[in-house]
Amino acid sequence: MRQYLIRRLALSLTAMLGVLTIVFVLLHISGDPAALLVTQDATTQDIERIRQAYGLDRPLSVQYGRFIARVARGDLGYSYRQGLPVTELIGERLGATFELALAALAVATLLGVGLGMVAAVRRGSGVDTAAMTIALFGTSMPSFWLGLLLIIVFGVNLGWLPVSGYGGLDHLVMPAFVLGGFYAAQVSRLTRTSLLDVLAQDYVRTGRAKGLPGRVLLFKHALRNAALPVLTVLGLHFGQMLGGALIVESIFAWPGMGRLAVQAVLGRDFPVVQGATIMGAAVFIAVNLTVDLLYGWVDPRLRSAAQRA
Amino acid sequence: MIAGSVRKIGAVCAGAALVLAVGPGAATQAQTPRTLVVAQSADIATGDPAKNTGLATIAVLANIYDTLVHRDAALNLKPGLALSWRAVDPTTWEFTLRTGVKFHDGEPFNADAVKFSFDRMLDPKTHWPGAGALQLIKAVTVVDDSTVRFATSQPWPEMPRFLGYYGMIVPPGYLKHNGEEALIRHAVGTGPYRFVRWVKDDRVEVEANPDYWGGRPRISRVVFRVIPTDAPRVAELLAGSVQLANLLPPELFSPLQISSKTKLVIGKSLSVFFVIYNLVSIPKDKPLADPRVRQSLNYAVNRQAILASVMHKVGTPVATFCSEVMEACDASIPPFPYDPDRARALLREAGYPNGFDFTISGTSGTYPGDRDIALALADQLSRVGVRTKVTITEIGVQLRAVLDRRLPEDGWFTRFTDFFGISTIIPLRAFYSPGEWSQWRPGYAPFNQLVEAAQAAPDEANLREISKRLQLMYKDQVPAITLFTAPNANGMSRDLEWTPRPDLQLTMVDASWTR
Repeated sequence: MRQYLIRRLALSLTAMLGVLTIVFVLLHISGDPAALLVTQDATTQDIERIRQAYGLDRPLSVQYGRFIARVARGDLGYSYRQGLPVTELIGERLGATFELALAALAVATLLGVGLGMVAAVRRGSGVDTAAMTIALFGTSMPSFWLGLLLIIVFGVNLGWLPVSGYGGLDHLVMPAFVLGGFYAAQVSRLTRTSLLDVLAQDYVRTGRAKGLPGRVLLFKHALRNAALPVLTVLGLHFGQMLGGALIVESIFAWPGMGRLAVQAVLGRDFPVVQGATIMGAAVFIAVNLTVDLLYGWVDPRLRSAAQRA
Repeated sequence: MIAGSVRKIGAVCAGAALVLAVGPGAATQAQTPRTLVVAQSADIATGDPAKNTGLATIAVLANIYDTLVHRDAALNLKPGLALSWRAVDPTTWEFTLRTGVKFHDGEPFNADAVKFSFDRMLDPKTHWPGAGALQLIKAVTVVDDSTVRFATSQPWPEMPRFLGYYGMIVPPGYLKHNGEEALIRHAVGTGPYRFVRWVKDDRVEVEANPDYWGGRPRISRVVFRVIPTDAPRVAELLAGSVQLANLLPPELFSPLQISSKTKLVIGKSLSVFFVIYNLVSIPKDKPLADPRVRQSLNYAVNRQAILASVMHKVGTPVATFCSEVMEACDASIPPFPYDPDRARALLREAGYPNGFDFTISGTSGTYPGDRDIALALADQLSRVGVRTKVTITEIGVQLRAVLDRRLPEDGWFTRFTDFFGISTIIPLRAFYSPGEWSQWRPGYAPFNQLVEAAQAAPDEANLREISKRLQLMYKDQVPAITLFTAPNANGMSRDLEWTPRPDLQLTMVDASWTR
C-alpha cells in the first residue's frame, strides 16, 4: 500500500511539472502582460519598466529556471496586478470555491443517484423516461442559460433569492443547483446503467429467490456494487469543481477560483495563473487519491487484495 | 475570449428575456435603501493608487483618495486638496494646499504628504503604470506646510488637468509604519469615503467620512460590488438590489428603459472607436499607402446606420481623434459623411477601380458592441468593393502584436480613451510615429512635428490653435477609419440622482437619493 502511494505521488509530481511547463510556455508565447497592465496613456518607457521589473525582458529559459526553483521552495510569487502574494489570493478564494463545490456535489449526488435509482428500478416505465428526459435536459442546457433563467424567475420576478453575490445560504442555492444539476445529469445516467448491470447479476437473482425484501436487495447488495463507477465520476467532478467553475461563478458573481484564474489568464498575470494551475492540479490529484482509497472502503475485494499484496 | 463570449451570448439571450421579466409581476419595490450598491464588472486591483491605473480601480479609489485638482462632471477644473494653483514661471507650478485636512487614520495632510506621494509615484521602483503621463515633472519641493512647487522639464500648461485625474495623495506615516502591502489591502486617503472592507472579487465597502473637507456625503454607505457578467448586473438593477451599474452594453439597454424602477443614463464620452490602419513600413504600391484610399474607406462607412443598428443610437460620429468634451477639440470640423459614390470615385482615382482585399483585427466582448461594429464595417466596406474580412483576436494577443508592430491585419479595431480630456493626447499615443501604440511608421513628418509642438505649447490658446491644425491634417491624411464615441451607459435606480462622468470615475459624493 505504501509503495503504491509513493508511486502515485511520484507520478502526480511529474504530472504537475508537465502541467506547469505547458502553462509557462503557452502563457509566454500568447500575450504581453505589460501591454495589459498599462492603460493607453502609458509610454514606451512605462511598458519597458514593467517588463524589467517582472524580469520579462530575460530569456525564456532563465525565466523558466527561476520559476521552477521558486515553486520548489513553495513560493508562488506576487501577482503583477495586485502586488500581493499569490498564496494569499488563492487562499481567499478557497473558502468560496469549497462551499460551492460541496453544495454542488451534494446536489449532484442526491439528484443524480436518486434519479438514476428510480429510473433503474422502474426500467422501461414512464418514470424511467421522465427521469432520463430530465437528465437529458440537465446535460444539454448550457449553465449560463439555466443560470440566467433562474435569476429572472427566482431573483427578479419572484424575488425569493438574491440574484447574485456571495453571502448566506440563500446566495448558494442557485449556483449550487446550476453547477450540481449539470453533473447530476451525468451521474443519474451512469447510476442507472451501473445499477441495471448489477441488478442483472446472478447473486441478485439468488437474493430475490431467497426472498430478500426489495429494499434490502437494492440498498445493501445492488447499490453498493453499482457505486464504484459512480464514485469515480463524482470524484472527478468534485476535483473539477474545486478547480473553479468559471461560468457559474461569473453569472452568479461568486468569488471563486475559476474567476481568479480566468482574470489572471486574460490579464497575463503569470504568477497567479501558475499558482492557480498548481492549486488545481494538486486538488485534482488529491481528490483522485482519496477516491482510490474510498474504493477499498466500498469494495471489500479491493481491501483484501491490497492486504494480500 | 471565453469570458467575453460567455458575456456576449449571455447578454444577448438575457436582453430579450429580461425584457419579458420586466412587468407588473416583478418583485415589489424595496424601501429606499440607505446603502447604495454600485455594480462594476471588475474588482479593484489594489487599494494603493500608485500600483494600478485600471479603470475599475481608479473609479472606486476616487472615493477614498483626493487629488490636488478636482474636476466636475463636465471636466471643469475645481479645487481639490489644492485651493489654488498658479504658474510661477513657464516651468514651475505652485499649488496652495487646504489646511486642517486629515487622512482617514488621523494623520495630517500637508505639503510633505504631497511631495511624498509624487516622489513615490514617479520613483521607478514603485512600478506605477501611469508614471509616463507625469514624466515632465522633474522635482516637487515643499515651500511651506501648505505650499508645494512642481518643477517641470518644459513648459506644461496642461499640468493641472493631468492632476485632475492622476496623483492621488497617500498618507506617508501610514505607509512608513505599515508598509506598502498594508495600503494595498486597506486604502487610507483624505476622500469623502472611508475604506471599510474589501472581499476580493466580491465587494468593496466604504462609509461616509464625517470630517470630509467638502462636507459629509449625502449617502452614508456605499458598496461597490463586482458582478462580472452584464446580464445579471442588469437583473440586480431590476430586482432593486443594485442601484447603479456602469458601462452597460447596448443589447441590455431595453429592459432598463422599460422598467418602472430603473433608468438608462448616458454620460458624455472620452472614448472614440477607430479602425487604425496598419501603416508600418507600408510599401508605396499598397492601397493604404495612398491617402485617397484611406479617405475612401471613411466615406464608405455609414456611422449613423451602425449606431442605430448596433449601439441603440448611443454615440456621436466624430470627425477626427477627439470627442467634443475634450479640451481644445474643434467641434466645427464635420465628420466624414456617408458617401459611397465618393468612396468609389476616390478608389478609381487612386488606381483601384475593382477595390482590394482588406482585413480588420477585431475583438469580442472587450468593448461594448466591438464584434458587431467590426462585422457591420466589413459589410459596408465590401459594398464599395473593399473586400473586408474580420479576424477576432483575444485582446492580449492583439495588443502584443500592436506593440510589437507585427499586426498581420490591415487595420486594428480599437477604442482610445483619454481620461485627461485633452484633444492632443490620443494623437500622441496612437498616431505620432514614435508613440507606443502607433502603427503609422515612418509616418507623416508634418503631423509628427505638430504633435510635438502640441506637447510644448506654452499656453492654452496656442494649444487650441495647434489642435485645430492637427485635426485638419489628420482628416486630410486620415491614418484610421474614424468612427464614433463609445457609449458611457449607466443603469440606475429611479430614486438615485447622479451624473455619469466622462472620465468614468464613480464619485458617489455627487450622488443623492431623490426620496
